[in-house]
Amino acid sequence: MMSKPVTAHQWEQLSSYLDGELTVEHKNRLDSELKSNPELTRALETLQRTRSLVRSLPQKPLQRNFTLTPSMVAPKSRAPFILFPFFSAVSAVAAIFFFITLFFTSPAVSQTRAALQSPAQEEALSAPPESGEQEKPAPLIFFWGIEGRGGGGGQFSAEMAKAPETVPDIPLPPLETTPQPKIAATQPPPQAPLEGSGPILGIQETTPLPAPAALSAKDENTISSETQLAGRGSLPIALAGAAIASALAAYFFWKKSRT
Amino acid sequence: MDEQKLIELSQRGQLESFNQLVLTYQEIVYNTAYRIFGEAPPAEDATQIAFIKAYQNIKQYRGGSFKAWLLRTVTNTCYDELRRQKRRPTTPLEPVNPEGEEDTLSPAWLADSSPTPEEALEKKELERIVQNCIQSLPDEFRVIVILVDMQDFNYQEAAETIGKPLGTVKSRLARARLRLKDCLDSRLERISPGERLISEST
Repeated sequence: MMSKPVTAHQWEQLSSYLDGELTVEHKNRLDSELKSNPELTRALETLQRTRSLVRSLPQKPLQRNFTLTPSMVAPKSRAPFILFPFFSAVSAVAAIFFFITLFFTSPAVSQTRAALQSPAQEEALSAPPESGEQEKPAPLIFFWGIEGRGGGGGQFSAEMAKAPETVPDIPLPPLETTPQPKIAATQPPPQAPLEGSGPILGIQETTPLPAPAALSAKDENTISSETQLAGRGSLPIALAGAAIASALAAYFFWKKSRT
Repeated sequence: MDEQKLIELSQRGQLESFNQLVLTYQEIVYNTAYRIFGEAPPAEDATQIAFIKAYQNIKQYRGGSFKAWLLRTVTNTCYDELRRQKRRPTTPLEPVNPEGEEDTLSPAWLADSSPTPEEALEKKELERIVQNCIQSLPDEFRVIVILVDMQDFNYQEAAETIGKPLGTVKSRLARARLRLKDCLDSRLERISPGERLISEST
């Protein structure tokens, strides 16, 4: 007769039987099964041997005492637990403001806003192109004096240093065409002497640069808006720095709170 | 002074009284941790941490078996450490074979071992095999085996310690023993052909 394999339930019964944890009723039933089932008996013996091997493991001697000292049980500072969420929040807020300011100070947005807000520029946008071109100043022209020797790298001569005493009156380009600066290559060479305090490279002393005080209101507006843009440009940098620094501080306190 | 009085004084913050309890239970706590980890350094750390936690939470103790309450603290501490180890696995210094066992047949390993009498060696080898088989169990099975078979806990105490019903303790223990039987069978056969745990497993 082939014996039946031991079921999971029977293994559990055998395990509890070994520990004396079966009720009297279950124990009696298992006792009778053990008498009639040699496979079950062998299983019990195997389990008994396993249990005795585990129980044979010796107790490990202590290498030291584990008594506590006051410093071991002193309450830990709550600072890391409080500062971590604080710096996390600061970092998040700084990052949000950083992206907001980055958006509003971006060149594209600033130019659009400036164009929409400046009435003068609105006029300029709405005015016909002729009126805008008429207001353009004549380009500054340098006179080298000698035809064909204006390029760099040539030999320097006394004639090359000569410059006209006055800036020639150059006619404005016609309105219909795009203004192209014309080099006065056909001008006669000036007769000014080499020595003395003449103009350098043809720039006349009688054409000084406009003083800051003499700037027009339009120029001042332009400079003012540029200064504001530059000032606003430092704000995102400051916010980014604050966000990074707060994030690092939050990370530091988070690590500290876990130790 | 009796245990209940020491617990009450500890609950009032008397560290000296708690240290009396530490001296009483430190061996069982350490050995439980040692059998869970299978090595001394993490077991020592877990034991120390468990006693600190026990002192800090002793006001939450509401009666019953103090030993079970204390071992619940140490098993939970060991679980935490085991989870941490699984997240950050380390490489053992001993040579390890592909099955995760220490490769004691390695010449490098043998070169460092001091000569031992044959019987002591066999006993030590058997202890190592049993410990390795215990280590191979899942954490929740291993703790039950340690509590019942090594610390002589009854099922009720074990159930209190792990915070599970009595039926869970019974079934986990039976399954753990079955796995141990299979593990021991195969390893004993490997080191000493023919030697088995009495019968073939079904």
